[in-house]
Amino acid sequence: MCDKELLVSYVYDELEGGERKAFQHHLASCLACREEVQGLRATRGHLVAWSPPDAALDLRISGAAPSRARRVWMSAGWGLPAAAALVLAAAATMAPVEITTAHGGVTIRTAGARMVQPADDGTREALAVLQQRLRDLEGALASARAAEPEAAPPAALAPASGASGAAAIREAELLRRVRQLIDESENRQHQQFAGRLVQVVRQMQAEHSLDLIRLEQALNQHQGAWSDELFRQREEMKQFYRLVNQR
Amino acid sequence: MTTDEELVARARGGDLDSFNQLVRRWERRIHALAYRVIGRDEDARDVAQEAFLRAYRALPGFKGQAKFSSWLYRITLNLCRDWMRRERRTPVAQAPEGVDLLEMASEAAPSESIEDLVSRKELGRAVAKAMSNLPDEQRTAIILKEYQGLTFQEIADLLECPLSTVKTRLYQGLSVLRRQLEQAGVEGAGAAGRPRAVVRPLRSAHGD
Repeated sequence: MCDKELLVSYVYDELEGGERKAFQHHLASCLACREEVQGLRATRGHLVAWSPPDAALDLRISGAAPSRARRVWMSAGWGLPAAAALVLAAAATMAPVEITTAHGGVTIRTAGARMVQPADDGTREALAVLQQRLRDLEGALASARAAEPEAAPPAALAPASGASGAAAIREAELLRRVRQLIDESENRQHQQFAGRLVQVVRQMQAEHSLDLIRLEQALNQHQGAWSDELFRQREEMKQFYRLVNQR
Repeated sequence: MTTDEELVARARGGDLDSFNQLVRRWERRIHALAYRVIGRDEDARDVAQEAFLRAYRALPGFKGQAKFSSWLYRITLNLCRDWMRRERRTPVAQAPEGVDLLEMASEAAPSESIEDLVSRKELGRAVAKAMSNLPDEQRTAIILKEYQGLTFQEIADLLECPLSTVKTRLYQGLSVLRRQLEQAGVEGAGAAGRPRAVVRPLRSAHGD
């Protein structure tokens, strides 16, 4: 039985001069080893064909930035539904939020103090609960709208109220679309989802940031008109959002 | 070019840009390592991200007793191991999606024809599958050697095992790969030289 450690060292060209010469001498007289060296070298040649997907991750640490900006690192893999939930929560609570994407990775920047550690199980749990709350909120929003059919009567309203009606519809639309994306994400490539999510949110933000501010004002004015249930869930959602932020 | 060690020293002194330079320098290799160990792109991205976060946090404790890259590899491999434990699954042979000729043409070497490219993709798929069948220890050794270009000694240090163990794992792993590729119909697995392998449909190799 020939020395396989020598053989593999030879195949990987990790033999010193003397050892190398000795092994070559052995090869000259051992057909089995010659055949094996040849075969393993060919196998090594084949291994080159397996290349990883191109990954321009564009990772960056920004936790110690002097401004109190905080960056939450999220990426396509660990939970885009959760990412959607975060975006949604941020939109609903009017937290300033900035979302960027680079090759499937999503970066969400919000105002705050500490860096979130996203892959942690506790965070996942909190996010799952948050997601459930968002589903509830969505339902509550829908029923609140149904209970207030005169919320946005056509012509004769003051500009602020008119805007709030439109904004409410748009927020509901945002909710609906994010919700839809959450559902889709269960079946679709996460990466695709990330791209679309960010696209939708960016679009909504660009188009309706003013409306969202008006919505917030309107929400404060008309809090009483909303059901207690909705208010409670809103508070809970904020709480969860804070909880997530503190991790 | 600034060395890793210089960047580490600056980063330890609180210079975030220097650390991010290290991130840029290593992220592809770290992702490639994680991808090959666990076999899933999206999870590999998470692992890479997490590895850099951990490295950043642990920087004050990194006294330069090892090369920065070895230290980073170790963190990454630990995360991969955690992932496999948590997911309780073996690595996935993640084959590239359908063959995209345009994309392939753009990465073609000047001398390569489309036929060459298609067979290279198929070969890559066969290799990924064969690798995923290897025991973890052999697979990790092969990855570190073949794809990360580490020496036997560096692998031994990283995996904290004797040099002879590294050689044994490499020999066994490579031998198993050779057999599997032959079974998968990779022609020329027994011939030396530049790989111009042709892969027959995997189906025919599965039935037996």
